[in-house]
Amino acid sequence: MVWDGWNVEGPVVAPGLMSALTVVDAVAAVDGAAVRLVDSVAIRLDEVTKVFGSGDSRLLAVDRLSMEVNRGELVCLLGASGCGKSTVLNLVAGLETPTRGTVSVPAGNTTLMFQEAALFPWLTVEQNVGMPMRLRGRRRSERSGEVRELLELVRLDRFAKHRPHELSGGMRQRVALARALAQHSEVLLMDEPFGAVDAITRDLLHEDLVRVRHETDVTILFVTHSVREATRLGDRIVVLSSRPGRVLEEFTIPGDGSPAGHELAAAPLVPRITEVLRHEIGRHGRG
Amino acid sequence: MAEAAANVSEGLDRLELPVAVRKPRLNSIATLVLPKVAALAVLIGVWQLVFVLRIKPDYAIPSPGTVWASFVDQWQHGFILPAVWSSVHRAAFGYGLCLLIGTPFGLLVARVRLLRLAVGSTISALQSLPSVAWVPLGLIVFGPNETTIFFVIVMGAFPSIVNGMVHAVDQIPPILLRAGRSMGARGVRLWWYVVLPAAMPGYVSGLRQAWSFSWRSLMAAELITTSADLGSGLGQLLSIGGTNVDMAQVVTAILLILAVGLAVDTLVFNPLDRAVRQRRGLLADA
Repeated sequence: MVWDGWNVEGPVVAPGLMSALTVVDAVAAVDGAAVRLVDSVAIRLDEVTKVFGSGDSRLLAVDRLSMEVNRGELVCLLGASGCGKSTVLNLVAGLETPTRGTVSVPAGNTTLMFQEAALFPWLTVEQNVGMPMRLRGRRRSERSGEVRELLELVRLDRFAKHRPHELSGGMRQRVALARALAQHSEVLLMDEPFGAVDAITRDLLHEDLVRVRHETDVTILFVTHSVREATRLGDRIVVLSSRPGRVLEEFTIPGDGSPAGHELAAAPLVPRITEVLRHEIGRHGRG
Repeated sequence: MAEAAANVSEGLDRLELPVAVRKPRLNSIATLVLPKVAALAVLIGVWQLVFVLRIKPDYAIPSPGTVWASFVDQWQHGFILPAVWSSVHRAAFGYGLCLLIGTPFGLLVARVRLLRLAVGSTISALQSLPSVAWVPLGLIVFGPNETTIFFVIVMGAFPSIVNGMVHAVDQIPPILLRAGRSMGARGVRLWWYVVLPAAMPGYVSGLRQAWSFSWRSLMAAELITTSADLGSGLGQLLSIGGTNVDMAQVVTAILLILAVGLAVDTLVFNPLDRAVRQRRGLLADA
């Protein structure tokens, strides 16, 4: 009887709530769909070809490459040397123009991060992070609060007054990450940013990047030649061929949003991705 | 979990930071000063020995004691301080002119490719031209006055400032310029916020070299340019000593020229150079 009572009581209250929720949900869904239709894509490359030089010394770096990166997504471009990964980043950053095809970044501005931290050695950590704001003409009083928040985000608030040469390689890359975020770009283009640090540091930097990404909703296009790094970080992995760069295969990692879930979902893909990559490298060996 | 990761991250940061081992201060002062004092003592000892052995007559090689007595005598007659002041004053003014002319000119040569192609090698050549060569030219154009002296200083020292600036700009790591541009720094802003601070160590080296060239040029100019209304500097003190065959005065003047040149380098340029390098982590013992 008691159970019946509960059973009866449940649906009595529920229908009203349910219908209310459904309406709100539907509106949200329609809204979401509308928003998604307009600008869910952050980066779009359409049949992009890039040729360097001319005549005999002509180099086809990227060949009819088409891909999209959605807002908030972290896509890894994976490939061996000569796959034009850096060229793709430069094209997206607007530092190069495509020979054919179109590159568009509907999301807005882009920021490049390099393998080297490229910090200014004459400035302290906080001055380095505040540099993009300073260049935009924001006064010290206006930028100090945000600089502190960014340093907390990369766990370097205790090192605000240090200079780059007093930090380790991994710490410098975190400063560079904070400085990149200080540019308020919607898209972060990372060119093997953790290529020059040791394995333990790289592991921690991966954790930092995953955390920062979830806290900031930034869209990331991440270039790497490491299958491990790509599967660890990417929501999606685009494997590129070498000389010229074309899309060989795409892998989507169906994670549940948690780092552990991501790792679990990525693990079975590792052998296949490695095989694709090795096959591509081997193709060049056979002449 | 997140806290554990934070701990690992912080632990690694701490482990990777260099541990500063501070040397006892007294010890480091002693190691800095003692070799210099010892070298000076040996030098005076050898000098005294040469004097005692009478290799040359007294007027050619006076004893350290005679030179000291000459110095004290000239000091008491009030010759030394005005001469030092007059020379330092001229050097400072001439050097200031060099800075005002050399710095913007150096920036222009570093930045404008055509100008660099046109005058770059000429400026390098000028640097190897002994500044005493400018004295007759200055005397004919300006006459025996301070303008000639300043002209010689500027011609002798500004190539160092220009070259220092040009090479400093050339040696900026391209990645810093790329980083600056990717943050949106262009044109004047790129120069102000990236190029100039990045070029500072090389520029300061140029400034330091320019000082020693200024001081040498001044001495060359003072030694040759004499006139009643010009007043006496250290170069003139040296010149008078030579004319009177007064070796004690000649040696006194030479030692004073050395001492002032060294003092300015030690008190002004060495700390400036160290500060700029220390800031950037460019000191070997930092």
